This record gives sequence, structure tokens and C-alpha cells, in this order.
Amino acid sequence: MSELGEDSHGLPPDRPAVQRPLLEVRELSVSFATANGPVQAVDGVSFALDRGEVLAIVGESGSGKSVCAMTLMGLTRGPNTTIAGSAQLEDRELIGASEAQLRRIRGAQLAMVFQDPQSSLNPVYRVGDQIAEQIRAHKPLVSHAQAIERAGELMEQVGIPRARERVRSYPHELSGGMRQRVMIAMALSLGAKALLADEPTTALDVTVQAQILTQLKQLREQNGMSILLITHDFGVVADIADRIAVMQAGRIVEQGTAEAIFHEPQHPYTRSLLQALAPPAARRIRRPQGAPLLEVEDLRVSYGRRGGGRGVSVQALDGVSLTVGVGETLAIVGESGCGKTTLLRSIARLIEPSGGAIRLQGQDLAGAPRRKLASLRRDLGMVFQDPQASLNPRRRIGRTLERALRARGLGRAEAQLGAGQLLEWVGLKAAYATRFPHELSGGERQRVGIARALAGEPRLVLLDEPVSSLDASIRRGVIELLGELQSQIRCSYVLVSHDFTTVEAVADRIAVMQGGKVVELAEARELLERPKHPYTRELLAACPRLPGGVRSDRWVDKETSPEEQETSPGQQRLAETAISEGSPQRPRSSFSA
Amino acid sequence: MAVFLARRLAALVAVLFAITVLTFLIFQAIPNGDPALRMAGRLATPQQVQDIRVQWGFDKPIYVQYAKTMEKVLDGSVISYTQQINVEQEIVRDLPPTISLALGAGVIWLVLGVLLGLLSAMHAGRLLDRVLTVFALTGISMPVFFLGAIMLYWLGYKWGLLPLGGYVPLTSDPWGWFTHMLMPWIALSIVSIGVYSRVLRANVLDVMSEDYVRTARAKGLSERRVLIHHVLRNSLMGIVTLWGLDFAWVIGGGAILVESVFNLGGVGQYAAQSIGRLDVPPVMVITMLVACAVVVLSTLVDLAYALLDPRVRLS
Repeated sequence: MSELGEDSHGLPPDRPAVQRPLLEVRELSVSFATANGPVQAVDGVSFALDRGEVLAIVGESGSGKSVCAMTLMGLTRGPNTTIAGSAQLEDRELIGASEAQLRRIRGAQLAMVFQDPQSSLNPVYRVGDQIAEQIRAHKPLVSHAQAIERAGELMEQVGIPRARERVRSYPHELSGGMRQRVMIAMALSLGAKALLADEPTTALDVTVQAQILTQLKQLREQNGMSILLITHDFGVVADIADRIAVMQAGRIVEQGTAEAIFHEPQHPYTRSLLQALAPPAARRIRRPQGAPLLEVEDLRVSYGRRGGGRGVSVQALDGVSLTVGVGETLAIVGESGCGKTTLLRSIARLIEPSGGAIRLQGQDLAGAPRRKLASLRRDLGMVFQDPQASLNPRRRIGRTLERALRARGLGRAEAQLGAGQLLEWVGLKAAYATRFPHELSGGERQRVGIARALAGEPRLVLLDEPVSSLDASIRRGVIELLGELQSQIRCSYVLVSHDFTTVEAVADRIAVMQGGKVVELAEARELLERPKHPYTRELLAACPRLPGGVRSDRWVDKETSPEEQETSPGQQRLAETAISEGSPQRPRSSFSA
Repeated sequence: MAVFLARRLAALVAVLFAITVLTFLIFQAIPNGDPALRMAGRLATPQQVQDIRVQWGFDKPIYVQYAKTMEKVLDGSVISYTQQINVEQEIVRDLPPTISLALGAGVIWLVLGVLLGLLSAMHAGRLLDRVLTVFALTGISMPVFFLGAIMLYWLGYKWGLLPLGGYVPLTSDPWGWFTHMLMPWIALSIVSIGVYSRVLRANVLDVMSEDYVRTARAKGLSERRVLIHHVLRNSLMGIVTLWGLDFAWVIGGGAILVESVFNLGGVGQYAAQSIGRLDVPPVMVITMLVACAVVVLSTLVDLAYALLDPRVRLS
């Protein structure tokens, strides 16, 4: 293992057979034929996975890391795929293997865990049956009853409480963490030698993520399983990986022991990724004076069962009170289902509150009649999590922005001019107005989303996970943009996030929510450094962090700003017209009338 | 479950009320629709017409007429205006051919539609898919009366392979029943096979890109098991709804054209004749039959849904 660590490309050609790694990948290339010509997803990748080792492949979306793993399983094969190179599991070649040979390896020798445990399990079959199906596919002599029995044992082993009963559960009856454990149990069911884990914790809450990572570590220690961990998040690999390979645009740009990568990263791309994870520079907390802009008092939202049932209702918000000052940023953090998004939406009255008051600049929103909402919402802007889904795909960017401006009462010509200025304001080119959303990268789309929300110069902007769908390296650019725009138009932000790094970078105050209640609300630094509520402490402890002693500011690289790294094979065409960087200019006031 | 069924029953009553009122009103609005005139015949004196009007209650306000008709419909004593025979007995006599038609054709179009759709999806974009697509579109755009006439001419008249229409009860002559039903089944199925295969093809292609299908492959399952167990099972949901409603439509006499072309003497043919004679009572009863069939079948579809997809809760 140690000699591999220093080796960043290729492998020594004549290694003695005894020392051969479990899985050896040499010069693996995968390209897909698309309507726009071939796309080289993986471009000459070589790495080795030893017995009982955890190798992490880290890279951003589009870097080819998932394609790599799927190709090892033979899941990318198809008429439009060209695969070259070699991958040997012990002494069996995977790349040239026949379907029948591969099928015997899949699940039995080489198992895979996917990103989204919700969609990775078939919704119409019981989880026990799904595990049993895999066992019986490889061992036809095992009876169904025996296989189910074994499924129960496995589910117990991976830490699912009441596993024997849950064998009969359907996937939707289990939590996300439990579903992922079922996937892991499946991987264990036939004693596979290696596990390919493709973003296994990305779709999970931080506390659950920590549990799943612990589970993976146990697999290695107790079952001697080798793990190929694929992730975009350096924080996740920090205390589990033995070695790390960093992928960019289909190539491994750097490979080494975890220690070496974290402490002596060589490649500028590795540095920029690590830098994105570093805690942001200390910033001055604003303490707004005077009357608050937004007051929320004892806000309640309950979802009743349809049809009234037996009076069963879920309290999504259970008496939330908070205020937001002028020009201030309040961050709301919590795990999925805690009510943070419900809170944000009910402030905009997208969800009807069942009780309590919402006052924006002294005017009541909660009790306002529906026909007055449009005028009250004029002082509100909203930025959504997924810019892809929240921009109309059939409408040019310019038209989307023009509509936002015309809602403010601007004429057609003024709005057209204003749309271009808005784009420049958020750091894009005015020429983007003629493009469709799919022609933009994720970061650019979110900038458009921000431009739309801020077009009316709202007093209050509600941001729902504004950067969580973006790659870490472009997050910072968007966060900085948000900060600059805020200081220019002096609006207040209410930001919902599950990610403390984002929150730390923007928030003046932080509210922690659990079960529909605010359990702790304090100034950002105070809350992060001296959390009082046990749940806040638990959340902070579960956050993936860089290993101790790693100081991110050591490799801050002035030449390679993270924004410039936002290229992936699919985006190269877009990169030619990359974001014009630099401080966004405040547009002239032609559209702010 | 009990609540679900009770609610469906209430819905059925509401649907029946609404649909009978509508049907009744439509026949009031049709010009030249006065039943007394038609019943009296061409040579009747105004006095005779008036007598019939009083005798049948056509002089009463319209809501009284509706109530009287419904009362008779519900106790099974409703008499048709033109033939003056009991409507319900007539429909009970006409049901066997219609049910034979619906069951046979329903099975044929479901099985062939699913089979061809699956085949099409597995070969998506390749030659077989294109050929099947052409066939499906041809089938969809083939009018039943045209196809029926062609089959009757060649298979029935020219070559004498199959009887030229009519219905033979299953109980008296099973083979005769089968040969008499074969052409109607084919004629009625062709359109639906086309539609079902296109819908299933699209569903299968959707499901194939689901993550759990990828998981199934990663488990090392055979391609056949992935396809049948994971892909097809999840693709069938939409088809079930479609099938339930189409089947109900045929049971309720919706296959008017096929029944008439092959002279099956089923409910659909009776409906066509009654409408032609502006004979309100049979039309009322047949529309009620359609409504019942649709509500019952869609309830069954929802029950099937709950069985097929554990996430669906009946409430």
C-alpha cells in the first residue's frame, strides 16, 4: 500500500504475484457517443485497491468518478459506450468479461452502494425479499425462507433496529439511513470482497451520514472488505480513507495517502477543493439597530390527514418565534423534516399557517387576505434550492428576468434593458439573456435565480439551500455574490441550510430547528463555538471536518480561484464563455424605479 | 378499506343520479322527440295522441316524469316506448354477447399490448421497434367498421373460414361461440393493442432508467429477471387504470360499432337501436349500466393498485 501511495500515475509493471492488489485498474477509458459527438467521461485512469483498504476517489460532478465505478460493474456497457483499458479483480478481467461472467461477479464479488437509498430500492418489494433475491440469484440452492432468515441476520448486523420485523418492511416505511443500511446489508450478503460506494452519504442528514460512515469502517474492520469510496466531499473521506485519488475531467490528477493529500497536496485542483472546505475567514457580525424588518410570532403550521381521519395531524411548525433585523442574515439549520423549509415557505405564505403572526415591516402577512398577498410579496424575494428545477426550461433567461422586472411595473423596453443589467450585476454576461437554462452551468443558473429574486429589490430575501446543489468549489463564488448584493441593496436574508460551512460564511445569527421548534437561536460565532443545546452539539459533532492540524490557509492559491475550476467534460463548451469575474457592478437605477 | 368502499358507493349513487338527469334532459331537448307522437303512429288522430300522452304520463311536469321513470327503472318494470317490452329483461338477454366480447377482447389486447410494448422497448430505436411502431400506429388509425367489413368479406364470405356474424351462446355450443366471437375480438382489440403497446413501451423505457433497476443489475440478477421482476412489474401500473376503464366501456355497451358490424345483438347494439328510435327508457338503463361498470371497475383498479404498489393507501 505504501509504495502505491507515492505513485500518482500508473503502476509498477512487474509486481510479484503475492502482492497483487485486490482490484487493479489500468488506463481505463470510457467514452459515450452523444448527439454532439463523443464525450470522454473517463480518460486513462489507473489505480489499485488493496485488500482491506479504503480508497477514496474525490471529484466534482462530471469528473467521471461515478462512471468509473459503474464501468467496473459493467453497468455502463451499451451500444453508445466505448470502453478501453483493463480492470482486474484478483485474476479476473472485468472489462472484457462476458455478461454471464460479470453477472456472477456482480453482487457476489463486487458489490455497490448508490447515492440515493430512496430510489435505489424497488418500491414495490419488501426489503427482506430484495436482499433474499440477491442471495438466491447467486446461490439457487438456498430456499427463500433461508434467504429471508439470512437477510434478517444481515440487517441486524448493519445496525437496523428491530431488523427481524423490518425484513417485511417496504422501502418507504424505512428512514433514509435505514434504507442505506439495507443496501449495505445487500452488499454483505454474499461476502463480496470489495464494495463500490458511490456517494453513499450525500443524500443523508449529517448525523445519519456519520453513522453510515462508522458502519462502513466496521465493514472494513470486521469483514475485511475493501472499499472504493466515491465522493465529492473531502470532509467525508477525512477519517475513513487510507488513500485518496483526486479526479478532474476524467483523469486522476493526484493520488496518494490520505495524510499526503491533506497535508501536502501537490495539484492546484486538489488545493482548490480543500480550500473550498476550509472555514471562511472571520467576518464582522452585524447587529442591526431599530425595529426589526420581520417578526415571526408563535407561528404554527399543521398538516392534517386528508379526510380528517381521527384528528391525526402533523405539527410541521410548533410555535416558532424569531425576528430578522434590517440588513441582517439569519440562518436556519436543522435536519430534513425539522420544519426549516416549511418555515421559509410560510413566511412567504406559500404554505398557509394555522396560527401565529408574521409581520413584515409592521404589516401582517399571516392574516392578510389572499388578494392583498401579491402586493405584500413585492418586498419578498425567494431563491430556491435547485436552479435547474426552478427556472422555466422553455423560456430564455432574459425573458424570465424581464417578467420579474415587469411585475414591478416596468415597461417592456425598460425591462429588456434591466434584464441585461441584472445579469451583469450577478456576474454574468448580458448576452446570457438569449440563452436557455440548460445552456448554463449549475453555478450560473443559481446566479440567474438570485438575479430573479433580487430584481424587485426586495427588503427580505428567503433562500432555501441556495448552494447545496452546487459543487463545493463554486459555492464560495455564489456565497460571496450574495454577500455583495446584500450590502448593495441593504436587504435581509433568511437562509435555510443543512451545511454549517455555508452558514458560517454568511450568517449573523443562527437558529437551530428540531421537530418544528427552534431549539437554539444565537449569534453565529457564539452558537458555533459555544453551542448550548445538546442537539446543536450533536449536529456540530457530526459535521465532516478536515483532519485536525490541517490548515487550509496554507495552500490558498491565488492563481487558481475555485471559480476557474468549474469545468467538466460536459461543460467545456460553456467554459469558453465563462463567468466574467470581478466585483459585480451595481446596475444603474433604470430598473429600480 | 370499509370507509373506502362506502365512499365509492356514495360516489356511485351521485354519478347515477347526475347521469340519468342529464340523459333525460337531453332527450327532452331533442327536436321531434315527443314519444306520444311516435307511439301513436302516422295515421293517429290528435285525440289518440292525447290519450297516449295522458296514459303514459307525458303531460305531467318533467320532474314527475323523471321520478316515475326512475321508479320503474329501479323496480325493474320499465317498458320501452317503441317496442313496449320490458327493458331490463331485454338487457339481461343482451349481456352475454357483450360480456363475451369484453372479456375476450380485453384479454387479447392486454396480453398482446403488453407483449408487443415490452418487445418494442427492449429493442428501442432498432429495426423491430420501428416495425412494431408502424404496426401500432396502423392499428390505432384503423376504423373498426372498415376492419370489420374487410374481415367479414375475406374471412367470412370469400374464404368461408369464419361465420358471418351473429352470436352463439357459450353454453349451447362452445366451439360455435368461439368462432363467432373471433372476428369481433380481433376487430375490437386492434386499436387497443396499438395504444397499449405504445403506452407500455414508454413506461418500460421510463422505469429502465430508474435507480432500482440499476441496483437490480448490480445485484447480479439475470437480465430476464431484471426485466420481468423489476421493470415490467413497475411499468404495469398505468396500464391497469387504462384497462379497467376500457373494459368498463365495452361492458356498458360502448362497443356499439363492433356489435353492430357483426350483429352480435349485445347491449351496444341495443343502445344504438334505441337511440335511433329516440326511445328514452332503454337509453337511460344502458347509460346507468355504463356508469355502474365504470365506477365498479375503477374501484377494482384502485384495489389492484394498492396490491401492486405498497405505497398506495386506500382512504
